Amino acid sequence: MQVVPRPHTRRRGAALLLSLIAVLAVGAISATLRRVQTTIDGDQRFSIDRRAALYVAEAGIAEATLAISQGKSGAMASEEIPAAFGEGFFWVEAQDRPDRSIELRCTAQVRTAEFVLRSIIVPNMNPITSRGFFGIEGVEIGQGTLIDGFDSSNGTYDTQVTATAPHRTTGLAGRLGTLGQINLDGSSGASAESTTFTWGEWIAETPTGEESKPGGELQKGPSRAPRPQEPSPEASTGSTVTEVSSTTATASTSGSTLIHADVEGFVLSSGDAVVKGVIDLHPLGFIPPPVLRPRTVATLNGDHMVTGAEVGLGFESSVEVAGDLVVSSGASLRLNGPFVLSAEALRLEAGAQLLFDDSAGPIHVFLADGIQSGPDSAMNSLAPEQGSQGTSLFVAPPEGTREHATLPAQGRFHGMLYAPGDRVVVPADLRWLGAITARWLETEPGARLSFDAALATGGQGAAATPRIASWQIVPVGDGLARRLAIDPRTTLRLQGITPVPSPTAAPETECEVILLDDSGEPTIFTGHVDDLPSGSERLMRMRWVDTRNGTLRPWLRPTGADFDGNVDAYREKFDQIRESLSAAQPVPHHLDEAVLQALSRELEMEILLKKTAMMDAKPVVK
Amino acid sequence: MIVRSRRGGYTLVEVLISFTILVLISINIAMVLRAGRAAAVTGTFAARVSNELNQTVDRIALALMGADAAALDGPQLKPLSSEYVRFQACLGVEESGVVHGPVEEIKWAPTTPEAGRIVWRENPSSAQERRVVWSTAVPSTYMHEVPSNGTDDNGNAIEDEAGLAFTMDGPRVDIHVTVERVGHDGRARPMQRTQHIFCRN
Repeated sequence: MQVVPRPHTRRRGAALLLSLIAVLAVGAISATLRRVQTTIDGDQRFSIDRRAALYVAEAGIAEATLAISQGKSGAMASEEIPAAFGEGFFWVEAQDRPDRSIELRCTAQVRTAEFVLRSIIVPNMNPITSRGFFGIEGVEIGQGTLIDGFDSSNGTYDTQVTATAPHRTTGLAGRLGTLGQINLDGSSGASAESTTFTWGEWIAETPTGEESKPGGELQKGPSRAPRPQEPSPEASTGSTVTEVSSTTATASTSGSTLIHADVEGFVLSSGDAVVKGVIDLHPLGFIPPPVLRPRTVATLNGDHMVTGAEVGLGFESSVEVAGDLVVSSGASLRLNGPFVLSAEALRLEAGAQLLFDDSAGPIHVFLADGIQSGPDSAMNSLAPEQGSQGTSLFVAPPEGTREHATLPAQGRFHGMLYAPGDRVVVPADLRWLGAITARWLETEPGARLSFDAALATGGQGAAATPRIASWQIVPVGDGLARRLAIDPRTTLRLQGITPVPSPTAAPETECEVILLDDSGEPTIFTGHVDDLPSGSERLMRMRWVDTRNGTLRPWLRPTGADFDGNVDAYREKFDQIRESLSAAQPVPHHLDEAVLQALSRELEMEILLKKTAMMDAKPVVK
Repeated sequence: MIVRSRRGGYTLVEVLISFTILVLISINIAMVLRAGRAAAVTGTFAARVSNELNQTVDRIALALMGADAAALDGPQLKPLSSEYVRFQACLGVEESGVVHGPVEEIKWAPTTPEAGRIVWRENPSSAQERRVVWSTAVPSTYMHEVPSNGTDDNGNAIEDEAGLAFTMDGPRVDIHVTVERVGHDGRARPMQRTQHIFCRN
């Protein structure tokens, strides 16, 4: 039998070909879908990372703000060695600005996104002194009153005077404000009739002969105020730049008050919306802040009478007078800082004098029942403005009605007065350098007031905290955020760089501190902050070495207040806990539950969990 | 004698069976491919709509974060709402005080009676006006809200809100956005998102 071999057929491999085509088709579809999905995933991941980077940048700004509140520069970490925060990193560049504010630029990187924020921080603004001359309910400005400003950190007022004729002034902006009305040429010592109109009307209605000043300032006012015919020597040499934050103002149509005087003596204003040179920090209102009161170590029972010339109270650092403090006629009381004085009322009899020397430390005076000053009494600051460390007078608001606090009739005082419950009249012969906050503020005709910008920052008996004046997203890359090709974590790992933890990202560690020890004498500590002695009575001033250029940062003036001695109370509690632990029986190696519970009861945890006094800080007054 | 192999060809039965199997497999493959494609298209579509919604909300949020809270115009207290917000961003602080940028506006603008778009405008209604459309698929009413009946139909405490709505609660501004696009199956697919932000300035 002949077998015919099976011929080779061309259909061999056809199935394989079909399969291959099918696989290729599915693969192509998959690749396309994968690509689309990858693009969408990338967009969504970038969106998530961008938001995370924004939050990390805000955390960086917050860390920098905290550092600023401690007197540091605000710089945090660096681009080379960033700070770690969560899944991302940040670094903050800080730059000091001429107006004492600090510009921060925080760059944050999280996986695929980089975000940059820019913020301007006003460091430790004091809620009382930063307002300058402030009447909560209203302000009355007597004829010829002159208000200007200066900066005591740059020298004394006299060294900053730039013009002596026709007005002696620094040419720097003062600050005047109220939540009520401003009454120009007020009734205090003047008989001029006043009319009331809104502040907006006041600046909009320009007087005849309006002129432009260099820099774009305009003379504005309801009427052209003539130059005083025979102004007092002090008043005739003054010039004022006044910022007004009230909504209404009252002005005389025939008075001669110089609120902002130029050489012609016209009433001028740069307006209240845009203020040249100064940041308006509290445009929305004013809540009297609580006063933080340093502890006093000694007490005098009953009233205390001061007689003699330039006598002190016989205590080194602090004293509480249970009754009134009376400076008898012709006597003078001298208070040398650092000093804390607390009394019911301060009464200056005729010709009595108060002398403050705060060159070595701040002076805090707390008065529950106000100030009463007799005729020819005086109040003088002995330290030059540049070297002073602050004199603060606090007058508690009365529970009922009280005759207004009367200031001494004459003198030259540098410091602040906080009397939120009183009507305060500044006499014409009492030269006031600093700030005043009162329920109602008046000036006698010809009074001179100069706002000290250096007092606006730092603690002066009230907690001073930084404030964000501006917050801005800095566009980078193609939009608000930049896409990063490589995760920064990978980059740092490859470079062998370990980022610094966020809480320790501030580079400043060396500091100079003025402490008040148990003897009441100020001592200076210089060195690493970790070596700061913990047993000091009070911290008065502090400044850091700026690592960027090796210079010293400005002095940080803390509140100066361990009010009611809470630090001591806490130390006492910790001592008790330590003693409890020391006195406890040696702990056996194997403890049962009952023993553990007994030990935990001995620790008195409620002491540790008790609220701190700072949590419910109340005004020391009332 | 020559013996022809019977395997030299396929019988009709063999051909019919193999053809039937081939058809069944092809149908199966087609069905799987079709289902997969539909799922992929639906997923991609949903992702795109979600992406558009998130990008739009983020843009609005980032724009409002830098705004001056005191100069914010538009947002209303619940149950009222606004279809626009007008604001000025803070650009920094100079000697004269806080420097604000030009007036900006984010607004829902209708394109049809039922739909519209979100438009950002700088210096609105002036010669220097600039405008950018941030989303083109924003319906006239918020998701599950019946227009103009004076009630809160979707339970978000706002009455008759639009596809873009701004409300405020103290210093907080709430942004409510709905994006709605028609899918390949012809069905409208709305998505909504609400974001709370605080103006930093």
